[in-house]
Amino acid sequence: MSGVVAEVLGVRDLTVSFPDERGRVTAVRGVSWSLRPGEVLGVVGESGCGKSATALAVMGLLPLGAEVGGSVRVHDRELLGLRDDELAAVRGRSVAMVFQDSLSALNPVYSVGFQVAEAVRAHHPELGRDEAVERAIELLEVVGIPNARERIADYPHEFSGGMRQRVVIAIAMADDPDVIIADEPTTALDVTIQAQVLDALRTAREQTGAATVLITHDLGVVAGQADRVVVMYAGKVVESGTVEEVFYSPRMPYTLGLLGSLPRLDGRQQARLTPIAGTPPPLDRPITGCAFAPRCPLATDLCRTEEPPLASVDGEHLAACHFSADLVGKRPQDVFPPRPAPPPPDAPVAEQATPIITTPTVAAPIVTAASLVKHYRVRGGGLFRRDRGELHAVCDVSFELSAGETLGLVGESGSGKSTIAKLLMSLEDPTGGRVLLDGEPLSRRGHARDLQIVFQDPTNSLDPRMTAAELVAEPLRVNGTGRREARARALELLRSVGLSGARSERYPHEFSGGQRQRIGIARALALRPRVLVLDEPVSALDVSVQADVINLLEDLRDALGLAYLFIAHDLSVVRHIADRVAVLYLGRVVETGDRDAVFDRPRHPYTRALVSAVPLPDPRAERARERIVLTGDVPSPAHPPSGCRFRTRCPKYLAELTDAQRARCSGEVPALLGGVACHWAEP
Amino acid sequence: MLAYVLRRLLHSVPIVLVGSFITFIMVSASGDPLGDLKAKQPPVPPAVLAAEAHRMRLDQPVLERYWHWLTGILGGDWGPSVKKIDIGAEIWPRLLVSARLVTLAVLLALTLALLVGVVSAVKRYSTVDYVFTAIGFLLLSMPAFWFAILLKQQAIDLNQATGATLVYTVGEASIPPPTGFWPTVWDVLGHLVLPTVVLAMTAFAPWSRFVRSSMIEVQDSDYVRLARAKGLKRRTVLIRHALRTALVPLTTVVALDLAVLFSGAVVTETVFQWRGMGSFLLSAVRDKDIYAVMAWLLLVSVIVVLFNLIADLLYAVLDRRVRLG
Repeated sequence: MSGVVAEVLGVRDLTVSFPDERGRVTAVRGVSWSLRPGEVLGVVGESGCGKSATALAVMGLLPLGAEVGGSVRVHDRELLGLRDDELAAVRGRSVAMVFQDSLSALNPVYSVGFQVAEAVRAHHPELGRDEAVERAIELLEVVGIPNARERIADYPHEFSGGMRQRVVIAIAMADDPDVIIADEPTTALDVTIQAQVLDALRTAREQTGAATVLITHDLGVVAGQADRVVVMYAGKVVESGTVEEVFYSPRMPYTLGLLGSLPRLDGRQQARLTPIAGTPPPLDRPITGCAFAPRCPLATDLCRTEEPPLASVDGEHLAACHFSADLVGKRPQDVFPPRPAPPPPDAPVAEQATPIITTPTVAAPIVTAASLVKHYRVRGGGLFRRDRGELHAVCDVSFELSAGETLGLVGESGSGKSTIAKLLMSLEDPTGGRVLLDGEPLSRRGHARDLQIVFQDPTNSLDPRMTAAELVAEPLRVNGTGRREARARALELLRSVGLSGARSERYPHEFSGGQRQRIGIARALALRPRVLVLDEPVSALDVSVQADVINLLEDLRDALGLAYLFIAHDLSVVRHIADRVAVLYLGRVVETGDRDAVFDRPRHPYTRALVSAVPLPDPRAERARERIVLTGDVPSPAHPPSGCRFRTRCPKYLAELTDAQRARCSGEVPALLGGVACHWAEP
Repeated sequence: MLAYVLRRLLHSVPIVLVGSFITFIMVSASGDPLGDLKAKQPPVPPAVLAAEAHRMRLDQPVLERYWHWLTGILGGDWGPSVKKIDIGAEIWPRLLVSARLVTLAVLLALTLALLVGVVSAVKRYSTVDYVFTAIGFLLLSMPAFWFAILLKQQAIDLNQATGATLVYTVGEASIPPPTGFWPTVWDVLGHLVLPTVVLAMTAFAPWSRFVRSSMIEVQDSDYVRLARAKGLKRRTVLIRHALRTALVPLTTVVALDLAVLFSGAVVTETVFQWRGMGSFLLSAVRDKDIYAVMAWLLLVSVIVVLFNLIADLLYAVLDRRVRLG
């Protein structure tokens, strides 16, 4: 034991650098933290801040060519400088790791049982094959894999994402480690599955007694799970302390900014998010002064020349800021001034005589989806590949959308959200039902101007060989606008999304993720549409950047009277931006209504579970909440359950209802009455 | 799986048929099989020419010729030959001779490609890697016939210098063949050495590069990282996780290259004066012996289609994510 407080894992002055085309990138620039027995240490920060590089450095798993400096000690044993075979004895036994993407973390060519048993035998070669398999089954049962004994011969791709992540957790538990490092363990998962996996991780912690390093960008997850928090920025620790200290009295502007840029599901928030301007600095050259200074509203010349040390502000609460004392009692909006909205492009539908109605009260709907149905054919194997039936992607979905209004479409993967977007854009033909524009059925050419879409991935949806101005001008050129006029309009549009001047001549790869999404938005606005379909427009972005794009979308909507169909799996974002919400489950709307009503008083058991599963970035509120953790996975849309599609996972159906009541759930599809589709909805 | 195999075999039939039809038309249009006969001095009597044309079915329209050829093959008749050989009786033993060469070359090339590819990937950017890379590109850029001639000349020089036949440089077996089982085997193997090396090297070069790059890719994958995070030994991770997965795409590459290897065998066999498929094709082309050329093309196309099917099946066995259907 060294120091005053016992530690199982200590990282001191850790530096990590990687070779890069232009030299070396220093991903970690002197990180220190210690992990105490039994605790959960949350490491938070945006992408590229060095969280994962730190974890891999601890495990000795950095790619070839990486250089590591400083010290990593496990139980006072120095790990840096050990040979690989010596490290192999530490890995899995002292320090185990849970990776982010369970699909790529499990080897596709081996069965799950083999891969868990392999972890069991790694440090116990004396165990026989059968004994190791028995232990593997035990472990899989502990992390909550149903019918573990039958499933061990299955391959990773035959498991759902949540189940796979449990397998990875079982592997981490295999040799009773002292430390588990979980690197973004729930990032790609749906919220209800995230709740299950976090439970499995807690079980693993309790069973092994391991202290845990929980690396995540999700402040809500940290608030609910961690004891202490380390905030990283540009390869350094900028603040650390207990969760309460960091969440309730942040003493570093970056932490404060992160909290302010996060939309919250409980609605306790200012009307406008406070994004952090700019992007993290490039790490391929030395940084003088505070790395956050270029984005910090409080920065002075001192900040730009002298790097603030990570110093105590209150006992063990550390912060790296020259002005941390000034931050006491400050709210995000006190420090980060709201940025003025950029000038909007000229109003849409200028050729239309009627003025834009900004009060969405009695406005006639622009878009009406009437009983939309979409089935996909599933072909079977066999000699003649007979049809194996149909995949019910969207089932009887209806909604209306008026000018200036935002309808949030939420649901987990497989709920049919993106299919609805495609139906609206006429990228797919509906199997049944219709989409009406101003009460008229859609025609493929005619409506193109009125309906535009912004895609999730700003990198893949922009042609890498076109400049920003060309990208935005393209829809205009296609629709017959002259070159000069299209270009002028493109520049104006780019200005309105905050990309002005020389930047319009750059190519997509020269922009950051948030800026690329701005280009996508400008392009969607080019034809002066009245409706934007936003398909997960911010889910690929970091929190601080996400807030900026959300604000931009709100400004544009208000200035241009646009109607948004906002599709997202992130309920907090939807709560922030939407006026009304429709909750989808397996292709059906289970609940719809005013966003406050739906999120504050959910009536459908699925909505209730969904809302309770979203972690709040507020430690006390998050820990005090009653949580409904759903069991099992979403059933396949190819074989949806009869009657109510949610009943196989419904806590009410499974625990509260009588057999007679259940018969109704399985026999009769609940109609959407009063905004909720449940036979036994909460009042 | 069985249904898939059957369906794929059924699919293969039209592929081979269409392929054979197109090649038949092209081969038929490539020249007059009786050209040599007509050019003879003194001239051959017209009656003989007519009889020969009739025997070669040249008096029939091309579609009819194709039909007769196709139905003939189903009955075991490979069609008439300009040189009046029995094509069926001639080609099967030659196929065996060539198959011997190609099979051995594939095995040698695969073994070397795996060894060199893995070593280069593990020790990437080291001297060893650079040396292997240089050799790989040298072989890639060297024409097979030239490499074959070079090797043959070296062997002849060696044989002359030592005054004994250390390495056979001509033919696929000694004439007359030695008696007894083991002497025959040794004789055949001895004759295989040089051609196998030549053919294997043409395949080895691209394959070793492929193994190297796919090993490098796999080594940076999350599952290799997780395997190491479990505490497995480096060697175990390398063989069990990295190499095993890197092998999967190699099956496709090897199967596709098989067609290239067969054409490579033609060149190699010619240099070493083998009586295999290579010299069969060459003399058939020289004689404008259309049915013999067609026999060669048909056999090789069936082999290529078959091995593509085998590669697909192997792929599914090696990687369970691949759903046959």
